[in-house]
Amino acid sequence: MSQDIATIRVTRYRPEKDAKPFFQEYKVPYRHDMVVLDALNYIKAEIDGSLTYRWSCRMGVCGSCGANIDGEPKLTCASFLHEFKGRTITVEPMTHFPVIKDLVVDMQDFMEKLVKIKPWIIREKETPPEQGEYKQSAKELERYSQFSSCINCMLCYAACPIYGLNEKFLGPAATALAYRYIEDSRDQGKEVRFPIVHEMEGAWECTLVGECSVVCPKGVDPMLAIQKTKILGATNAIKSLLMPRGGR
Amino acid sequence: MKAETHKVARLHAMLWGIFSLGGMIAAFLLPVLIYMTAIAYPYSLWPFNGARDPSFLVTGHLLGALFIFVTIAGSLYHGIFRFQSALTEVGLLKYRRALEAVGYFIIFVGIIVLAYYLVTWYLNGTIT
Amino acid sequence: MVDDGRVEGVTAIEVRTGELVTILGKAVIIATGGCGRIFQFTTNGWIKTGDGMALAYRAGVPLKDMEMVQYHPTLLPNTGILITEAARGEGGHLLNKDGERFLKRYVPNKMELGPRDILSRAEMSEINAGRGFEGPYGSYVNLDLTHLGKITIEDKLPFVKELAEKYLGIDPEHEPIPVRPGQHYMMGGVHTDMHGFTGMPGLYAAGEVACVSMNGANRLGSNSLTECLVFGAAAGRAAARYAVKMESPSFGNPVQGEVMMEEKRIFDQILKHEQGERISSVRTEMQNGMEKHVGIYRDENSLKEGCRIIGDLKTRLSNAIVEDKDHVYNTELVAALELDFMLDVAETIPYSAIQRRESRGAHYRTDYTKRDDANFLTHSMAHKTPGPPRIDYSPVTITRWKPEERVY
Repeated sequence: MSQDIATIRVTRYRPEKDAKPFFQEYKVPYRHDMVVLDALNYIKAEIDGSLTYRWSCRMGVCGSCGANIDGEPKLTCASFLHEFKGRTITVEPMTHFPVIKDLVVDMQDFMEKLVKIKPWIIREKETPPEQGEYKQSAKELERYSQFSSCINCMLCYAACPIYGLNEKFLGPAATALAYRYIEDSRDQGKEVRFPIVHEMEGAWECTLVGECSVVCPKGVDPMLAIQKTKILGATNAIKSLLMPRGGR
Repeated sequence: MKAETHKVARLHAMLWGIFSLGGMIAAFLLPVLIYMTAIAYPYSLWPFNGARDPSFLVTGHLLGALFIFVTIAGSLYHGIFRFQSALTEVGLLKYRRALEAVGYFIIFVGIIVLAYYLVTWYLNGTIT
Repeated sequence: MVDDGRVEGVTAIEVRTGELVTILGKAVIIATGGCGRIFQFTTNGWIKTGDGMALAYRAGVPLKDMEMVQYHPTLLPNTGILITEAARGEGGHLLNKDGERFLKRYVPNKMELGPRDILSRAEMSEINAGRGFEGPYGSYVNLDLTHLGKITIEDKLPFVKELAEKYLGIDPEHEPIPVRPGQHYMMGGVHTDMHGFTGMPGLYAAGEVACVSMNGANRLGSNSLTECLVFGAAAGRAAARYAVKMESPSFGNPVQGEVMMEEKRIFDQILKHEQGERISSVRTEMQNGMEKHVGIYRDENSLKEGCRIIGDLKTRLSNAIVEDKDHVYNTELVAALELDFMLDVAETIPYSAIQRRESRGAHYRTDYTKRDDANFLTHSMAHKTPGPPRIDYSPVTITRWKPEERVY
């Protein structure tokens, strides 16, 4: 494993000092198995302690290290440096979010959306644990399991042009998570969740661009979840038109 | 926590349903129409191997008129609805209300004109 | 924050603004997990810096059985990413440089299915005997899955395949995966009873940060979930019962004083230095020192060295610089505070280990290789003092299962 030098251009913005963001360039020696996050860690440890970014697990599980790498939303822990050999790598904060400092973005809006869709199992009546689990077959699990792989890294929001235009849009990850509970056989909260995802600013804003499903590092397909949510919404609306009382 | 109110976009849901389902049906019917008018008729293949011309599609039977109606209305609806979305994607979101008005105007005028002709032909006996 | 022996809340930093925030509470439950980042090789996330352990320790609660550090035998050498036990469960082989399944010399009856601590030691023995591979991130052995075939690997071990491909660029169907042992779990932690109570009024702990003593000297796989779910619930209930009968704390003088002191420490000391070494070099030396001297194999000399190194690093940290002087999102300051926590926690490990002159569970002394129930069937307790930690012992409660000798 030989050592090469990567040139990496990182957005810097320190609100207490800088009027506007600028790029700073660093040279980082790297091996074949090093990722962009390793380069950022190298810079922070050896060159510039003030470089600010978020990360924790370095293995694609925690979802905190997202950034725009050469314009594409990616996890810095899952982007090899050697893939950019011979080119300058540009690392910017994820698009569509307000920047707090350097690569750190404000997640407040997404956090609120996550809570809004009530990401927990809703039961009409909770039964105490002593009475046993809420059981589910492998087939029932299969219906939603891919949507439960979301790590809340927000790359899909950075990739979504609609979210970029209208931040009220519920967006890919939150809708996919809502759909995960709607499809869960143990959940009885459809009555509560449908109105949230079937608002105009819920699933309907989506125009099927599909970038969300392309950038997802965990293989989740939020576009599919949104599409299925729309189908549910349309059938519900038609049902309620045909059967104003008993339709629901 | 403040009480949540969520306004379900029921009308939009139904319009989307028409867009989605209508578009899908039109997508199935459109090739049939193209086959009939652009291939079967000029080359005298079935069902035009007799003396019939494509106008029989409209005039031959009420189902034919319905076929034409669904194909044209479904395609028109889907096309314009999708076009609105595309305009939204390129960043014209703030003009959305205007775009929607124009889009739905085209859709409904187109459909009404089409329906008007079909109905009058039916009433005056052109369609049997 | 402690007022008259009672815990009444915490001080925290709002990282977004850099402001010090006081959170008052009738009871505090610590649930901050382990401290893997003390070591060079760990499966833990970056945020596992032992903060909760250090907070309780500084408040006066002893840290129990800190010498019991579990190593996992299969980590990727560069990142410490964990390759699951299932890879061996499905039939993967551990091979040394000579292509030999070296475990036959250590656990002939169990081979790759042997316990984590013994496998980890076996790997280190092979490496120390020069039978390991040398790589850019130190020595390693191979985990060979190539004979399992595509179907087993894809159906049973998809995450192993994903990790090897994504983080090593290796296809485990055709190439062996380089692995080495690394820190995985702390059996020790904040001393609690079975209700998560630390003994200090108002303070509870649960999860890896706590030592409720269900893991003894060597945790079995998945028992961390029990600690989290069962004892987490127990701690929550106990804290709620306590809180209901207590009056709300007020932002009184002793508490306010503590906050002011913390504020002074951060802004007038840590952030003030203009010249000195980077905190990252202190951190790296702590991690390397702990791995080398307080790692899998220990003896009197190595542990003495470990104690000395941590002591030195504490002095060096107090003179190190934080380059980033911002208030907003100062991750370097956070790292400095975390390192300060880590050094306090790290120190308890060699000090506890040096006095346990026996080998038990995860704690292995090359100078005392046998278990000594007569003298050491007991919990070590590390107490904070102005100097090095003071170690004393508390008896082990044995109920149904009597300790037996481990035979494999």
